[in-house]
Amino acid sequence: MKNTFQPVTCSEEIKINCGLIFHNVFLDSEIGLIILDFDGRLVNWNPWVTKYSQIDLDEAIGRKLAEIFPEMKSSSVERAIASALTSNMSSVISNTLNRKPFPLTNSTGSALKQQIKVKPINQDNQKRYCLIQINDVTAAYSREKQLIEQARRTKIISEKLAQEKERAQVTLDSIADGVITTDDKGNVLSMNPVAEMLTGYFEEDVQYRQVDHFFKLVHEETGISIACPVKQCLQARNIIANDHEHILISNINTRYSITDSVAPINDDDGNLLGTVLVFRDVTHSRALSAELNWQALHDPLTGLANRRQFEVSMKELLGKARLDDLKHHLLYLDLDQFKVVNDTCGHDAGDELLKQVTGALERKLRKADLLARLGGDEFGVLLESCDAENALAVANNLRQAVEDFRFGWQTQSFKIGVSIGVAEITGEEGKASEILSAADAACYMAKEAGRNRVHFHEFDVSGSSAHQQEMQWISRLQAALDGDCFELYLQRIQNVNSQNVPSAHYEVLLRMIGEEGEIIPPGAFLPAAERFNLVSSIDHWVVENVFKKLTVLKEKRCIPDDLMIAINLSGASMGNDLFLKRITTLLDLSPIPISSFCFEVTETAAISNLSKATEFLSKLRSKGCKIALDDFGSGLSSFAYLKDLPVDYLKIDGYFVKDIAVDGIDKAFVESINQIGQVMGLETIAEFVENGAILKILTDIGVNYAQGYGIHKPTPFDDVFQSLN
Amino acid sequence: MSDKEPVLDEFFVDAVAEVLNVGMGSAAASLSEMINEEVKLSVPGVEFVSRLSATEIIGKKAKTDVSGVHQGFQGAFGGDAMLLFPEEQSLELVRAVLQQDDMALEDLTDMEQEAMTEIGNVILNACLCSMADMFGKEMQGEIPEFVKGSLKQVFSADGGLEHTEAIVLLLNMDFSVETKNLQGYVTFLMDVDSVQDFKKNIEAFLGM
Repeated sequence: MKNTFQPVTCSEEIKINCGLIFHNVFLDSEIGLIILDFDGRLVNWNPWVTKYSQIDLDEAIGRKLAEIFPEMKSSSVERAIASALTSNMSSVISNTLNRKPFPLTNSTGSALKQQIKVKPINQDNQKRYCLIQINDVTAAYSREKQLIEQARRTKIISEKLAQEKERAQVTLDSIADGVITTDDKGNVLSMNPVAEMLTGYFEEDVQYRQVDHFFKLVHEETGISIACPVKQCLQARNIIANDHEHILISNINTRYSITDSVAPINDDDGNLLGTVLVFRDVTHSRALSAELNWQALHDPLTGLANRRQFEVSMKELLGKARLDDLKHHLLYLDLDQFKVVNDTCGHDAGDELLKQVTGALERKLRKADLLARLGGDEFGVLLESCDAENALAVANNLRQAVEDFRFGWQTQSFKIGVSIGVAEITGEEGKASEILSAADAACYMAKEAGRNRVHFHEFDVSGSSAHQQEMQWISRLQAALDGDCFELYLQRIQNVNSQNVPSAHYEVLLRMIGEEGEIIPPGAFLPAAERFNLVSSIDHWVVENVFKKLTVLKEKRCIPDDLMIAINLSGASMGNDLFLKRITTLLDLSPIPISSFCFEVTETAAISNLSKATEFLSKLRSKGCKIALDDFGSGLSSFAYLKDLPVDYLKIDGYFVKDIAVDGIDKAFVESINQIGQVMGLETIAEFVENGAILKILTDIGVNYAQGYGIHKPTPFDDVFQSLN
Repeated sequence: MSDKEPVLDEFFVDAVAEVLNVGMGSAAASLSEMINEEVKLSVPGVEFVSRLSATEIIGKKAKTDVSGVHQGFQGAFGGDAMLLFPEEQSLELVRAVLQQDDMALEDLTDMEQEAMTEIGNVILNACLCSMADMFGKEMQGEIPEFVKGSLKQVFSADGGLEHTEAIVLLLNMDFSVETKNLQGYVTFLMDVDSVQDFKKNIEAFLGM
């Protein structure tokens, strides 16, 4: 059995020597040894006990423990001694549970912590003793206290850390940003749910893998791969932030616009531990801001740049022009006949026309040229690094493209044109707006010169700008109206069938009297009047003065009975109810029969305001007046609307008539217009009849009336009637 | 001696249980005084089993390691007495006794092991004394020591028993302190000769 020893046999000498050694061991032991006899009286204790109890052995020998140490009465030690002596049992008494230890103190006066063992010693002679061993565990006890305290603190700290970690985790899980952390080699340590969602990978799939193996970025516009910002951060050891133009391509090839930033994570000593990559999905906001930016600078219908973008680009170009010697040009385009399409076919047709024209224009331009829609049917083109010659060539290409273009809408086909003004962009011109006005003015000149053509703006060397010149026209026209500085002329319209008898059928024409008394033809001032809304006032003046003159002439009895007098009305007057009322009043008071009046409206003016024109002209016709459609054939190649318009005479555009003797196509054109007119019960009048040859052909065709220098040159109103007399 | 063959019949076992419970009463009184808190001890069951069965029975309660107090004894019969708890229960017991509930450490410290030894010592001494009283024979208890490890390690700590057919007197023990109730085991591991002596002593005690 354990602890069952065989008795050791040895010589007496050895026993004596051993006895000496044991005695010395007893004296020198660094534990307390106390021996009690069977009655519990002290037999001996070693010097260790004397040293820490401060009690002499001699004083203690033969006394019971409770007598030596009264504070130990009823202690665990006492009980253990009894158990050893009476029941032969050994005991251990721990420091922790022992409330009554030996009153031992060390040199500093503090109490010794003790572990006590009590065991019976049975001698051969059946005498029983009790051995008490006292171990000083003060040092071990305080070490353990420290250890426990340390452990306690560690536990608190680790609990706090765990809480912090939990909080950080919850935060990471709930924020809208994607967060990926890596070690100092760029291997992924963690990903939050948003990062998982955007990359399409789960944390466990990519943990400890290189971040750039799955975090793939490309440039938003170029599509070129972008180096992983984590790698940049690890190299630079700085924060790498990107606010724009990155696309993250996910596991399933979804593309996210993101902003991203990477920050290094350093320990307290500045050693790099890893990085934290934070990124945010800005697909929606980026798309929205791109959309807003686009809308702010573009025309939604055609997708072209709008006026604002055009002006910005023009300013940039102007800035460049001031720095270099390169020539740049600006084109100002205004579509001819757009309004006609818009008014006759509706806005949908107008919109479609604009889109198609845009396409036609774009095909004739370089990629670098900027085409913009400036307004309703106005376009602008910026030609960078393009000299005047090339600018004109481009302008003409554009003009030709529009001329060749046919717009089909339902069953109809329209032919349109474009008037183009060209202006140079030079650094000397003050403001961008002045250049734009210059091009606008040139475009106007092109229109004035007969539409569908290109006009190059020449800057006025005298210093007065085009704008100023136009402003002068306003005041001149106004002054002429106020001062009656106009004069009425008449040109005869001859009945072809009775060429020998001069017809009493005249068109009233207008001349302006200049400040120097010079006669200014209408071609010079009417376009300006149209532009500045003075044309209606001019119509007023004409009508008032024709009636005034006729009243006077009537009194003088100078008016032939078969008189037919044709007065021109502009498109602007068509919607003017007050003017219509005034004309009807004048007709009611007319000195001559109402049937002697004919009102002429150009085809273009009538079509442009078709409903108003129809209403206006119908009123006059119902009073008994005649209606003539002027310049017929110049605008549209459609007769459809003729059925709706209340018309008596068709005046064939002189453009087709003047070359009729040499141009078969023109002749065919006149023939067809005449035929249609005849079929519809209308009488036809040919303009620009400059000679007998033309008249002969017209007679053959069967045109009813002829008008032109070959028949009668415009003559002052009064002179005509005096000659009649 | 096989597992199946009863070493002692029920009659004997009841007598042992009764005697041990008396001893537990005095041990509980000592412990209560030591920790200034009421301690209750009881031995609800006693059985004689082979060492293997004892390992299995205790193993059901202690999934991991066990810890406790080992104390050798000699006299009328000799062997090893052990008070064993599942590891976590011993921790709970000591800390309940020392009133250190929020201990940061997962293992018993030296001082706690020492306290555990003292507690076990009190209980085992009481058991041994009861048996000595019962048989009217001298028994000597040795200095106890703290043991810890797997059941196998703990049971084979005594090399002498390794090759001997040993039998175990196994006591279930309920230990209640503060509001805690803990279950432990007291084992008396004896060789065949000791068991025969034990049996004779019981027969003598019962006047048979």
